Amino acid sequence: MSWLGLRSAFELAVRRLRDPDRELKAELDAHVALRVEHLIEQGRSPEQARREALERFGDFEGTRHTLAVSTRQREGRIRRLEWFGSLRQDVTLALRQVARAPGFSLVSILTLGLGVGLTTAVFAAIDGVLLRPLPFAEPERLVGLQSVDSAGNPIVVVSADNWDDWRRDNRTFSAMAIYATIRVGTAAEGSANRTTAAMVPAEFFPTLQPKMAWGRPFSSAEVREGAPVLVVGEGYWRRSLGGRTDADLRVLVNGRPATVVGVVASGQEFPGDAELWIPYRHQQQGGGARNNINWFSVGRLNADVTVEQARSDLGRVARSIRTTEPVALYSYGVNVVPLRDLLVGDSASTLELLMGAVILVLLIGCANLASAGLARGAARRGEMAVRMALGAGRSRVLRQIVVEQMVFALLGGLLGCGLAWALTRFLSVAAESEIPRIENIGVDPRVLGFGLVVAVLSGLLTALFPGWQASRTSPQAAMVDGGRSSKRWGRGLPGHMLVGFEIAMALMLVAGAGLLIQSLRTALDQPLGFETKGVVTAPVLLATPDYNRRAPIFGYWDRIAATLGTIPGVESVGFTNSAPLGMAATAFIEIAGKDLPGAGAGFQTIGGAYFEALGIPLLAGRTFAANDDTSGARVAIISRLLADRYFAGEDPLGAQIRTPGMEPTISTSGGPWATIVGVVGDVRRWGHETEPRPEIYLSYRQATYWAQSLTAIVRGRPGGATLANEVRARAAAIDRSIPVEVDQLDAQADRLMAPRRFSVLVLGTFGFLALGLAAIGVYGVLSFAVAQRKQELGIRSALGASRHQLLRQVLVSGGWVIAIGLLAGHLGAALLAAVIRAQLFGVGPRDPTVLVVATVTIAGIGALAAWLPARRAAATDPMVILRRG
Amino acid sequence: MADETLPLLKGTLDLLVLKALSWGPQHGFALALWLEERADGEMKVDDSALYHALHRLEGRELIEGSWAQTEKGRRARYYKLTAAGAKQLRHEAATWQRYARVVEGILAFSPRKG
Repeated sequence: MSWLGLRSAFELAVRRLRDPDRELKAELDAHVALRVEHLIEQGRSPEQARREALERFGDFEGTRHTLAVSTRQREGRIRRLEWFGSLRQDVTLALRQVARAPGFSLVSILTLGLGVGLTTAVFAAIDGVLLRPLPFAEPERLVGLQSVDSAGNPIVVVSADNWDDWRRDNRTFSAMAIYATIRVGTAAEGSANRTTAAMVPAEFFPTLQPKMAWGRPFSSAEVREGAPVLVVGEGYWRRSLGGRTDADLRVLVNGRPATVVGVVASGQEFPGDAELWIPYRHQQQGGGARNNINWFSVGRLNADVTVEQARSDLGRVARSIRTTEPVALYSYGVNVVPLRDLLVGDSASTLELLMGAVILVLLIGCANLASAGLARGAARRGEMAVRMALGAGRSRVLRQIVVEQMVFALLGGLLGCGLAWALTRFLSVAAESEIPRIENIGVDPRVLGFGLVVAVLSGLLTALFPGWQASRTSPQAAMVDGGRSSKRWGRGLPGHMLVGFEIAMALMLVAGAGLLIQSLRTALDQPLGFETKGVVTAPVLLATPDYNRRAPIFGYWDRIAATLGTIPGVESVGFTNSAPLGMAATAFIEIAGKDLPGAGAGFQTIGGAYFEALGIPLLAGRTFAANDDTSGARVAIISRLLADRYFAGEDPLGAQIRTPGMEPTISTSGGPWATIVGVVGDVRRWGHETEPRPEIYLSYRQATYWAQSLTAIVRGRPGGATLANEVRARAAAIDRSIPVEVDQLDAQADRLMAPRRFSVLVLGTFGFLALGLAAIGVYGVLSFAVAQRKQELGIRSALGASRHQLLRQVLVSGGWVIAIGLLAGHLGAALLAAVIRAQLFGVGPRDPTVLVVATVTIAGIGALAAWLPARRAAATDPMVILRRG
Repeated sequence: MADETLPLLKGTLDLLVLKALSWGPQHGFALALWLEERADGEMKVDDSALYHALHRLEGRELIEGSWAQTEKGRRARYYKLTAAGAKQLRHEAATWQRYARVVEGILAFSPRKG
């Protein structure tokens, strides 16, 4: 500890000794003692004198107490006044500093504002999306329930049969339900629309317990009796039913009338965008139906039951299902997941990545602000020394620095809160489809508080370096060299450390962005195995009573195929029960003459020119012909992978294959055999990042169970919105009561990649930002160092140093900082890579190409930023400096 | 005895303390003695009231206290008049004198019996 430090510590101790209570007692005791002395001199005995003295005084203890209180108050008031007075002085001084160096101050405040704004906005998103509880009663008791396959993998969907057993035999749930959404056509009050409906059993409402805006949920009795009732969402109710509360409020759903018995309050809709809740009556089928996993499931735990307890409880039920029905292939357990985690899903990692990135940007902003503070501090070294010499305590000078940085930080924080407000407004609209619940985010007092805390912490953080610098200032030394110094490292070290830090942060972000870009490229390089360009998909659900028999259903498909085929530019039209990139069923397959326990394949029923429409190549045999229908022998087409895996070295054509349990209407045990007539190319049906799996295709005219809901696949030129509109119009022309939704397959493929693109965008943007800020940092610190060492450079120049040598001197000192920063950055990049590992695809976390490119980029930009001040140093005119010195 | 002494008018004690200190710095006991001598038994001031006055005046920065030794080597708190205190004394003394004159004048005026 320096001498100054010792002295201030001593003063502090002395001040603590000046206890007002003790002083007062001493004063009053002295008074009484003097009075006693005086009375003794006048001839009183000591006892008499003492008694009289106290009597003359009056209320001794009372006086002491009241005076002590008032003294303490007075001293406190004085100290506060002094403190605030000097604080005001410091703030004024700080504001004057802002005005004195407007350029650097502005950049510092802007970068900090940017950092605080981004951090606060992302916090708002995290707060709204991840931290806020679900809007239902006791949301922590809500869980999602998932199937578990033989390998122990959870599968998000469950079978209704299994659910029915869980519901009956569990001991840990107060209620559980299943749900599935479908698109339906509705008509009410003369207006028709399409909307999303959830099919739910009566248990659904006791499970979630959504608030009702009006009426009640439907009852178990209503569901059991098949009563035509339904519940609608508040939005639908107001929009389509005028918010009326009639006892007989009717809606036509897919042409069938139903009475509205209740309205779910807005904000309480679940799942997702459901607006209608239609009763679903479950009847146990058993056998293969156990493997129809088409439902999502949600449960409400009993109070005080943990997720683990629920999991083991349902695991017991699942095992007993498998004991009685070994065919149940998704009953190797039940996965229980908090519902909130399930809903938030991938957005958690996206938001965490965002938070990480913005914190790095904030830290870089802080580093710039700190180095601005260092520069100011060094320029005012003389001033500080004078203040200290004149008796400003070290703590006083330190406080001035903290106040100054804090003023900057708060200005930045203010700016940041404004920015956060704008960003949340933007995010809540822009990312609505990417991140669930994000539409609710905004800047509330909590978020503002967060922003403020971040700003204050940033202020303290940025005061650290200038504070350290000031604490190393001794008045004598500073006075002697008048604020200039020829010390090479001692002075520059904190500033150089900051720049090194910025370089490291920038490398982290740029390398992270590089890894994600590389992942995106690798993913896109993986062939889908089918065409998306110019392909339009149109899911059609023939759910109205007109289509309850085979003939009208087939008739509809024939008519729509014919009319779509005549659209100019259309090349081929096909059908499938599950279009690529969407949901798809998995079937267990049996091949005659082979024992293949657990063999599975993707299951699809198709028709028309399906393979042509998607550009899937036929490798052997034939595709389905017009006479492959109910009258003909059952045939199947398999994918190359299925052929390779189960027919290695054999010709699969002519072999018999079947998919037990996939057609519940067929009661034959195991289902009918089909002859393999063709082999087609493999597809990545769930997108670029998935692996192809074995596929089996049946004709929808033979596997008729699936014929009611098909998706038309239309490929043509020019495709796009024009084709989509034409498809919509033609479909409507056939039967206006059938809702048809049209989408473009390439747009769907893009949407699938959207989260990855979003991550690339986030890290890429912030990487660039970090790069720019770090460049500003390098430039600032080196410029400042050059300005500070002008005299030294002048002398060197006068002593014969060449321009080249001066240039090199500055570049080398900058180069060291950049090199050390890069080294540290590689450590940081390894850390970041570990964090985003799950988002990497086909690229290692230490991918040499990415790291080299990132390193070279940053080194290059850093060198450029160092070049400008170095050139200025080289141009130093020795005479000017020497004259001034 | 208590019945015969004069009660102290509110605010007067502060003025008297300021006056006493105008002769030079004093500690509390000396001030008490000084007041007792001047009042010559006509007016009784509790020592506690004196200390209340001293602290009140110090709070208003009219006087200033600091520790020092008495002639007999005892540590005591000495009070001295500040510039503001001196100014206040002049002002209050003038006010008091005017006030006393007016009151005396009114009391000296005897009504004629009509």
